Amino acid sequence: MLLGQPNAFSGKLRMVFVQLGTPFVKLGDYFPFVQSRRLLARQNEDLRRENDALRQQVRALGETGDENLRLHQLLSLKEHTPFHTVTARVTGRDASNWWESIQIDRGSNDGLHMNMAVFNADGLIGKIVSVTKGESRVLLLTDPNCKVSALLQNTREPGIAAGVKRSLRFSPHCVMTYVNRDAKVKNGEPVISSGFGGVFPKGILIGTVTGMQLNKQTGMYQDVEIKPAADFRRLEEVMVITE
Amino acid sequence: MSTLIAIVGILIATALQTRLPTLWMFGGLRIEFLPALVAYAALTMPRKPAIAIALAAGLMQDAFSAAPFGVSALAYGISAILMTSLREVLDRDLPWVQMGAGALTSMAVAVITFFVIGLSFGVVFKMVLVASMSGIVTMLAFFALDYAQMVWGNA
Repeated sequence: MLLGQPNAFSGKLRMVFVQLGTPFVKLGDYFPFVQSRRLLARQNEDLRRENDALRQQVRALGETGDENLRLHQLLSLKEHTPFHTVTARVTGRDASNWWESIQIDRGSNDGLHMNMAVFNADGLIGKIVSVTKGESRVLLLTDPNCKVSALLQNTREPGIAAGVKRSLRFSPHCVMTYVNRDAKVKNGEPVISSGFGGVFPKGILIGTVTGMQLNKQTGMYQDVEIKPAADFRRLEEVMVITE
Repeated sequence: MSTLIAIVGILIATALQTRLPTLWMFGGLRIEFLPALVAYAALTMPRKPAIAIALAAGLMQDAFSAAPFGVSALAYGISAILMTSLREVLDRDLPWVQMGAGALTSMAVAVITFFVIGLSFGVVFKMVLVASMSGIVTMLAFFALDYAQMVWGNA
């Protein structure tokens, strides 16, 4: 059966569907442009066309400036990071409401493969869970199935960070479980990846502590609530650690 | 609805689902269009093509998701079988039937996901919200597709 079995058939079938649908997903890049042009055409008469074109150019330059700033941040991070990385653009969100993932425009042709760590200038984003030649899917840190071996930076207490499934989430967040119940955790303490497990390198910022409580089921550990460092609502460019 | 139109419809619906922004003011929901397409096919087309469309739509959704491949296809397939079986007792022109069909199809994915992966009961409220939204989208899709069929004929 196809259900979640990582066999060659389901992998190839998924690849076929991804390659079939990707051109349509990429068509979405053009719609905001078309809509704004239409709006501008309605709002303005012939005499104001030139002015509108200039306004649009200013907007485009502003967008280019913002993009330049983000890419500059990524570049400076790339220069200071000890990892070999590949920069990728986010091309789409998860098609389902029940999973948290993004699609990026780099794939096996760029040297990416499963379980590579993904981050941006703010912090850890997630890991790659499926790859085609030109696209990859990244399971976000806010998904409960993305588990990261984590470390509280000040107290050096280890634990496992993962996303939370709640009824409604107005902002993405995670929980770090299996933290020593006697640990003196404070709000605002940074949480970093511990490097255990081999997927995520040590020292990448995951987020900051926003609350803690004893585990409700066992009482043996603390559950520490984390506000992710990366803004998962506005992901545009990310970096993949290839080595 | 011809096969070609169905395939294009699935591709456009998938593209919309992945590209439209997440509604953070509604707790991070994303609008689903594929359940509407599956419900429309199940209440309009013959049984076999309707089920084929449901399976194709499910596989396409899984291809653009971190879900295990086949989960949505199974859910949409079961939903399509159920709806085509009940078609004689369902009046497809009634808005509440359309909304119910879309909501059922959307909810089927959540229920199957729940059984396959083991989600917590905390998602029930979100499930109801997603299903309600899909129901409204389905009603609008029925109106749009029926109107298109009336204008362009049975393409």
